[in-house]
Amino acid sequence: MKEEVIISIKDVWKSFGERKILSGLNLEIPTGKIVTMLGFSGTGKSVLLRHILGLMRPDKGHVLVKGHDVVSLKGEALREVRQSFGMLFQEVALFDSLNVYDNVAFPLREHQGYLTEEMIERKVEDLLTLVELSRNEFFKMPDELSGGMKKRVGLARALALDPEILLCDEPTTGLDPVTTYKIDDLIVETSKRFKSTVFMISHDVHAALRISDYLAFLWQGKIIEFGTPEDLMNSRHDIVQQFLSSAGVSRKSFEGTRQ
Amino acid sequence: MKNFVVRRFAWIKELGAFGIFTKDALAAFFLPPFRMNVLVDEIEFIGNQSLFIICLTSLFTGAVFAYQSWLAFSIVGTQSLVSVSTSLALLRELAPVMTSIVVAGRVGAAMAANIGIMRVTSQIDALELMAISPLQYLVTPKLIAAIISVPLLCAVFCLIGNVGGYIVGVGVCNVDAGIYIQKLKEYLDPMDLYHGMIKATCFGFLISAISCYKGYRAKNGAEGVGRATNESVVLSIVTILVLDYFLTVLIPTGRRLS
Repeated sequence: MKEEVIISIKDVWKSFGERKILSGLNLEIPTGKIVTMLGFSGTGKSVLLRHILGLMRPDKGHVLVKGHDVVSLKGEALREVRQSFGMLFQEVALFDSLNVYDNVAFPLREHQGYLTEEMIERKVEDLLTLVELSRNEFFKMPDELSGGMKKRVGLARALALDPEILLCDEPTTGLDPVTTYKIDDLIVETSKRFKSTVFMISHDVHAALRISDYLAFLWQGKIIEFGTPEDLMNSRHDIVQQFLSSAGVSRKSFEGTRQ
Repeated sequence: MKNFVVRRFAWIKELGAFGIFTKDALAAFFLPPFRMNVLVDEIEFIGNQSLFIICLTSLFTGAVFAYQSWLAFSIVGTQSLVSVSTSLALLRELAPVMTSIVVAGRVGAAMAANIGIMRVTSQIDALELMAISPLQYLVTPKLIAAIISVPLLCAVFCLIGNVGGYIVGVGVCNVDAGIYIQKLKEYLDPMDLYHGMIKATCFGFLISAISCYKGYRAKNGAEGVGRATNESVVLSIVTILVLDYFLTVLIPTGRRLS
């Protein structure tokens, strides 16, 4: 049976000056699945993410989110589509003038005006507990937090409005292996709990193979491989095999991570 | 050739982008949601937190202007006009211009840096992705708050500047206190104050619009934010001084000139 598609990227082209970044890229992200995009640095992964979010317009092509082409949407219509997204930024992008609690409460106060402060408090506490933050960290300012804590607060904020789609831009870059493992597990757990689709960009190949339902490999502006982790391991593309081996992934280590 | 033309006239494109940015930010004020608490916070930041520095600069501006006027009037023996010249200069020129320059340095720089940092650390993208208009949330309250606060600060500048002028005129230069006040009553017109307040309103609007625009367009990390802050202050001050001449000519003086 064919899976339902929530994000569909059709023949997207994007150049910056003479430099071609995306060259007729096609990708379909199935509903309710965790999809990770892999690729070398500077190949346009974050650019593609910005196209999905409507923060960047392609030179040519269409980006359909729940059937709406975000390329042609503007103003209120675009904002409506964006309400389906939760985004965990690479640099987290917490509001540095607000404490942890207010950062998570911010989207609730802005969009769910019918909620009382007590209801917001319950929801924020629930989310911060989910990402394993203790009460005495609730009122710290973002610059008082460690990298891992910031990512967890960012994840809690991204989940505040129960998004249908969670987008993560290198959620574990710069974190130690234990925190990386924790963040990855949190993403899987929250995706199951909120029944969200997760589209993630990552350089952490081991984690991507462990938690993803599907993987996409971006090379020279196109997705050259899309499939299950098993499919990626069996890829016939030299560049994919080279990427996997340079990341230290072997058949044996892959089977170990999937267990 | 095409590249040369594009580069040569890039400022026209920039001016157009600035116009659209400002129009959109002002229009957003009339659209829900209305965030009065954010507006009040901005008024507090621009107005209340600038009060001390405005009082200090105005006191000494009034004082030095009174002293210089007294020196000049002493040559022709019309020292009694010190109060009129000081007050007129304060109300019509010094108060709006000096207030705006102080605000551009203190508040404009902070606005550009604040929005610039939010831009380069993706906080503005985060707002957009939460389906919140960054223009409406960040820029509109700053524009409106500056339009409200700067003329009020200008009025405070006029008041304290006149106090400074009076202290020096009467206390240091020995102009008779009665004559000092009498000349003010005789020659000053409420239009002189309105003239300065209208200018201050225009300057306040421009300072916030320029600073927010520069911050909003910041890129390339800390260096870009530094550049945006620097440009916002320089451009604001130059614009104030140039626009001041045109406003002086255009705003009715309210008095008959022979």
